[in-house]
Amino acid sequence: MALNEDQPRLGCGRIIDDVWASIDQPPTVHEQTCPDCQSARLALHQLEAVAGSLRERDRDDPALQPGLRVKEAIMMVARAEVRRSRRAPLATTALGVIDISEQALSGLIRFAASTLPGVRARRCTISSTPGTPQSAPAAVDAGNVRITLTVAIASGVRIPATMDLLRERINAVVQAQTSITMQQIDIIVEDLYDF
Amino acid sequence: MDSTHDSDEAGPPVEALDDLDESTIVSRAQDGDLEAFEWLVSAHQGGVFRLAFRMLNDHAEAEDVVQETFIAAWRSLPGLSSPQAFISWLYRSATNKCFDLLRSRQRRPSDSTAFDTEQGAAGGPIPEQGWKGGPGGRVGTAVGSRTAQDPALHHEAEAQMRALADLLQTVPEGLRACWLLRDVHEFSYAEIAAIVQIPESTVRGRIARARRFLAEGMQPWR
Repeated sequence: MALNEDQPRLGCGRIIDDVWASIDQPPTVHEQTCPDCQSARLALHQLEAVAGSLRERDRDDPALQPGLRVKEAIMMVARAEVRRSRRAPLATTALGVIDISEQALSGLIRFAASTLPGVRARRCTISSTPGTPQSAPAAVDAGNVRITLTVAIASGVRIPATMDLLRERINAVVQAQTSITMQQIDIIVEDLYDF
Repeated sequence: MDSTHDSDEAGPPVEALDDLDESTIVSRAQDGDLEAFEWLVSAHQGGVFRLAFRMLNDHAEAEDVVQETFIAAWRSLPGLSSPQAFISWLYRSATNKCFDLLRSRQRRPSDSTAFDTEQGAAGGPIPEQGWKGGPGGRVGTAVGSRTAQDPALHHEAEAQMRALADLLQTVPEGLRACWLLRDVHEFSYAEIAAIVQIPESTVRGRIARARRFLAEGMQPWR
């Protein structure tokens, strides 16, 4: 068969994959008499057992974990790159402009969503111009903030009522914390989860 | 106004990331949520490290793979089509980095050539750098719980695992990656095909050949 061309075979012609697939079952009539299959079964059985031990041992071996510095280095890069993201000016004072990063604004929106049971905020896209997808201007226009939030909803939650409540909640929290009034809040339910 | 105080601390007090589904966490990391991203690093750095370590047999290089993979992940996350694709993206990225490193080793003639595909497949000498030279007695430090009671059994189990780990280093790298992803990391054939980006039938063939190679090496074969 062309499909099994690159499959290694035993002396008796059987594909090793087939021997492996039935390794936990009693030997077939052929396997009881075929010396090729018998030794293959034995060897594959042993391999499976040792591989299983190795898998469990490696998983719990503290020496087989990256050092703490690795995660620190990763997070240092991530933090530095977040600081360079888009920002929305909130107010101008004698000392300069006070602004909020897009990430902090998304975080605030996720926080607002998390106060409603049965709602898990996922992606949040912030834009200033309707219909222009992410042409990424350097700053977010705080006077014209539009968001699209995707959420996962607990199964059994009444969606229309929850969406209304979610919009209200997001608006209230963002306004109280940043004085930004949202121009548009689109919510997409993309997933359900068991509560 | 003091916008940083509340906004930076928003989120965690109400919902713990551990209670969320992974797609939600990936989605948030896609939007630059550092806390979600850090959760993903903590959850998956061990798996990526173990794959890289068994591919490269070198602790420091495996750490480099973890670091580069997750930094690349952070940068690629915003453009990832769906959160469900994250894990295969992560392992694909790590596997490719391992292949790159192995290839650059082959170009450096001074290094051990036992990793060379043809030589390795022919049963060349088992590379020992990284095992004997690594952290002293690392192989013997973790005690297999089920055999810990009986020192003789324990010793034999350890010896077999060490033999398998050593033998694995002589398996050609393409087969080695597929075997590790299936029999150690327990991905399905379809998932491995997505990670390694080869047809599922080829994945099956590679894994079968790796199993035969390893089984033969563990004990005399017919």
